[in-house]
Amino acid sequence: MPTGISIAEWDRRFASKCAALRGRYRGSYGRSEPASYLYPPSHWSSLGDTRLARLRYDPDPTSLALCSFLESQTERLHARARAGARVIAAMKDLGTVPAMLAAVPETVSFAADLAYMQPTTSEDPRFLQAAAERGLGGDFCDVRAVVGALSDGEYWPRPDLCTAAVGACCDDFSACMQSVAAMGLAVHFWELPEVGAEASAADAEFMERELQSLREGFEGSLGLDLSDARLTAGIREVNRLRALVREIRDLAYAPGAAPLPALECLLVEALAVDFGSDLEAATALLEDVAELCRRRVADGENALDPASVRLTWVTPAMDVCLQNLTEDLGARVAGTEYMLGHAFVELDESLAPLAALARAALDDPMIGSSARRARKVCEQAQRYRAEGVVLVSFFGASHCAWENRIIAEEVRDSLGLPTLILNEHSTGQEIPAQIRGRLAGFVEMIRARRAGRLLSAAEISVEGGTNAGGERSRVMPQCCDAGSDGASSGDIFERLEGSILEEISYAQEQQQAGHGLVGIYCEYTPREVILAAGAMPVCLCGFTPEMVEVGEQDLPGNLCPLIKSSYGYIKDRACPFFENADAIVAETTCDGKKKMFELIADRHPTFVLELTQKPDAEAAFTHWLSEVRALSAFLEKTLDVAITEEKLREAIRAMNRWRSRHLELYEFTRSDQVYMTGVERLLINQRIACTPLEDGLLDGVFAELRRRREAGETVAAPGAPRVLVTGVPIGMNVEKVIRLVEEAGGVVVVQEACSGIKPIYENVSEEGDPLEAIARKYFRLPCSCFTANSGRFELLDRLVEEFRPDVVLDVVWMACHTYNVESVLVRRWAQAKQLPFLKVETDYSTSDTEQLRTRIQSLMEMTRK
Amino acid sequence: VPRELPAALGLVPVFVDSCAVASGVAEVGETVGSDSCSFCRALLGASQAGAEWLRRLPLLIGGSACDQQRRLFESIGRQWDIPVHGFVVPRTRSENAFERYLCQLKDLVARLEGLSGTSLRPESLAKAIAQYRRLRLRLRELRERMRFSSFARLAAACFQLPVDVALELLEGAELPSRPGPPVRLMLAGSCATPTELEDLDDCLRELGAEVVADALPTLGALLEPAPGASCAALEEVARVWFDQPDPGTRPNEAWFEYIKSRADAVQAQALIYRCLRFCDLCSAEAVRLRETLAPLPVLVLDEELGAGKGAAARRRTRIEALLEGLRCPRA
Repeated sequence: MPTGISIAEWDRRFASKCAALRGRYRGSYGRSEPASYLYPPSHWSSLGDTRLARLRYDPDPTSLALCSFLESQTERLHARARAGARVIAAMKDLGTVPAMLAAVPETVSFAADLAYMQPTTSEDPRFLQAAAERGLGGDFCDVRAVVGALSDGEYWPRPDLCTAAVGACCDDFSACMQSVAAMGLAVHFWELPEVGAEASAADAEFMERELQSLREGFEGSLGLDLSDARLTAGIREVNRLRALVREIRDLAYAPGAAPLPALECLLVEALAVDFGSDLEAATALLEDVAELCRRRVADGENALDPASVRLTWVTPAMDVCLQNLTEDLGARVAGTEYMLGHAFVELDESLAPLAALARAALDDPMIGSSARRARKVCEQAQRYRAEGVVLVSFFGASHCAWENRIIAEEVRDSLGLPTLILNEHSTGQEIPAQIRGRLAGFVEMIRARRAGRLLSAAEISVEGGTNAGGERSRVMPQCCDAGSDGASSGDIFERLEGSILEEISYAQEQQQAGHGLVGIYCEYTPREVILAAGAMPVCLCGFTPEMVEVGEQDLPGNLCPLIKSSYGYIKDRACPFFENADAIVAETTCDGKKKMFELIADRHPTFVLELTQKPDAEAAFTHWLSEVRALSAFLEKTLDVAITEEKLREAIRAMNRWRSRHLELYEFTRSDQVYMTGVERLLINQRIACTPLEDGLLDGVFAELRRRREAGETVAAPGAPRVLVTGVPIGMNVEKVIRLVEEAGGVVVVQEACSGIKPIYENVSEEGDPLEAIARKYFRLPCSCFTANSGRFELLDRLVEEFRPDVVLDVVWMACHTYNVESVLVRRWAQAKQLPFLKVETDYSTSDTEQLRTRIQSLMEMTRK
Repeated sequence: VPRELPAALGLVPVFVDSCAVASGVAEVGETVGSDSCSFCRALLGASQAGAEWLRRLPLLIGGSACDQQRRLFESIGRQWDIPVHGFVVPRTRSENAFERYLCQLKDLVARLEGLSGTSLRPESLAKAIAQYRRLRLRLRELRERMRFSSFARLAAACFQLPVDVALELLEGAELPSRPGPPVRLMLAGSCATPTELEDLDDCLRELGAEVVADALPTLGALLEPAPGASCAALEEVARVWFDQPDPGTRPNEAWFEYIKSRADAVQAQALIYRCLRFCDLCSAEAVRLRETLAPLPVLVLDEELGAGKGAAARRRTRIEALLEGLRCPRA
């Protein structure tokens, strides 16, 4: 489970499974006899919908027919237009106009709105570019694709008339429709009124008059006959289809059975809007789909694990790969509010036809308040017993920006369900690792909730607030976020991108087994003492740009982003590690951090290690040692454990092994041939050190790196500049400098930083008093908060000898005063070593990426061998 | 929303939009997505941050001409538990749409009657219509005698006061006439905060130019409804308001014609079309507006503004370039 098959598998199966069915699945192409639309997905992929190659499909031929039917819609439209049918493009009503025209055979209609998916499925931005040329640029929702799709008569035939429903709906689309009119297409605008909690009689009368005006438009400008008799006949046919859609949804979304995957369900719902421009064929097809669902339910045959986490999905994602992903992550869709629920409301045949159409149109979830739409979402979640609600937010769509928070609030308040707001990614992109990670985290936490875990609905509800280019992660804690767009290769590195989820599960299991969870921030915190207390040390440093903004709600702007991001997670209660921590260990390294810790000290028992800052003074070490002893006492008391000498020695051995293992990784960058990139090295950093989970991951990494070495697969071109990165700690998501180096042809062979080799370079002595040995090792960590920090230069000297860098890159976070000032000394040191040197002062934003790229490219050019 | 209606019932309509301040954008936090218009965010942020008077309003009339405003009013109402009387001004201009608008105004009157404890009397409405008419005419007279930003402040203040008080203040005011500015500019586009208009005016003052007319929803549009002297009934005033040109009407050719005729009438040499990011209805029309004004001797400067302050220097550079362009004869 899930049992979906790939596009290639369909190719293999098609001849045996579907060829005989081609005659069954036939649609009207304007010729005398209907023709088959059934083809394998590769057929449609080869015609342009390249994303189909990435999807996984239900293995039943009926499901394939569903996909084929929608894919073949444009062909049918062109064929019908060539055969003389009047082409009607319906915009924004999502179901009303196609239902009006259902029994008018001289027309063929389609919902132009559905063009919004085309730039994703075809991975071709031309429609968006065409819209941008008309003034509808990147700040608009991708529904602007409709402008491009209607611009030249190629994708769709040029409509004889467009209908445009405006009023109490989204402005993006209203602007698009005006743009279509400005292109010279005939457009009949009609009004959608805002309705209250329930549509009133006055609303219905108004809507009926609007539909009457539409009817007159059809009759007047196109000479069509839209008599009541014809409308009634059409309504009867449409109701057959709508009843099937309703039945399929009930079968597919109800608990107990899972007869149809989310992707196919989405296609069924989409079909309700405009019937794929062929009502008769659509109805026949849906009868088969309904029968398939009935049969599977009766036979206990599931397309998915019925026990999957049940999610109500609000607003359809443009990238249907998300439907697959949801199921891959162990969830299933249980109820939807795709903004088209009114398209499968059965029309009241006891009313006059326009009155029936008006009533259904007033059920449009977009034309009321956000609270009204929220109620519809809650109805779906209740009806299908969802355990969580996912809300997709289209970048630039004004309604999403405003209503998603309200909907999430209503869902939490009225149903107590957790919510996740997912920002739709940019057209044509792969699903970013962050979206995958956030969705996975959400599913994981709902599963934990099932098991009566710690977090409440409000705590695990997560929101996103950035644009398509900057997807945010608020469920993930970050020593390293769940990874970015995956520049690494090899399955193990892909796994590492999402390994945080495994760590969350691991931490939960360990906590349930009685182990403590202790949050730490700095490499000065001796993990050995925490391990000796039977607890897990988890790094809580924040490397998520979007959390900086949250942190800035309390913290000053001119503070280092690492502190602001770390604090942002806590302020937003978005880090499950922190939320579930039993204790926090902080330290007095820089001023920003130590004051920030005061703001969070009321959340958990907190111990602040006072780090004295003169490393060469023996009195300073004596004080530090007393602090480490005090930490030990604090943990004993807080976790109610005894930290014995034996346990300390055991922890020292474990951590020494851990450090040695990590140090061994540098074998793959130390040599002339480099087998691991700097970005990959960052990925290996885990939040919880020294665990069996991490051991397993490291096994995988070593296996992959050895394989590369044996196969001679280096990650850098011959002559690529070898780069030593020094300075502040860097984590995934804010690894832009390292990534830029490697994109510019360099390779980061070693990073001298807390996120690099520094903390693992020296082990703890296994002789003498264990606490003193621990204190000694950590006190020798060379940080810029020390004065003087001669240890850093000693380490740099050794790294130059070992790794033979061609260039030194000093990375400084803005407002990190200690590293910033010390950079002058690093520059002098590099000059003395006759090594090219570049200091990069940046923050977590991407705004300076291109400037940095230029600078780094120049540096790489100059140092290329 | 015709201000005449609450005034006729003895209520003081307060123009909430004027409490939008740029700092509100930061205050708004994550109540709304960052991909929303900064004016709406500023207004919501102001309501969250410090506009105590806003929270004490007995009723928020949310007559919205855009989707974001509609949801903004809902958000403010939810946040502070303020009763909201919301309605959407129809986008189309059919008679059916007008009837809908009129019905909505009648519903509003009923709500206001409940709030004031009085019934709308025809003579009260006629008086309020006449007073606002005088107020607008007086403001238009003063318009030419003041710097743009001072006038914006004055107009905003007048629409915050009871109309009779505003009239008393204005009708006693004497301002000397001023020489015309060396460069005459027109301003159109999205809603603007008073602070932003002041910043723009300061910049223009230094560069020797001035805004002589605008079509901003938050300024020019307040002065534009021009009921005739005989206008006295709800239906008539509704018609005047309904017919206001707006980029969000569908179709919206009338708005282009309005801008064109206004630019022509005030002999504007250039038009600054300032759009807030994510203000869909205005942003979408930038290309067509430029095409519409092409036959006129009016240069067009498109500005896309975000909420940040960093745009000021860029704006100045662009305006300098515009003024340079004006000094060159057109090809």
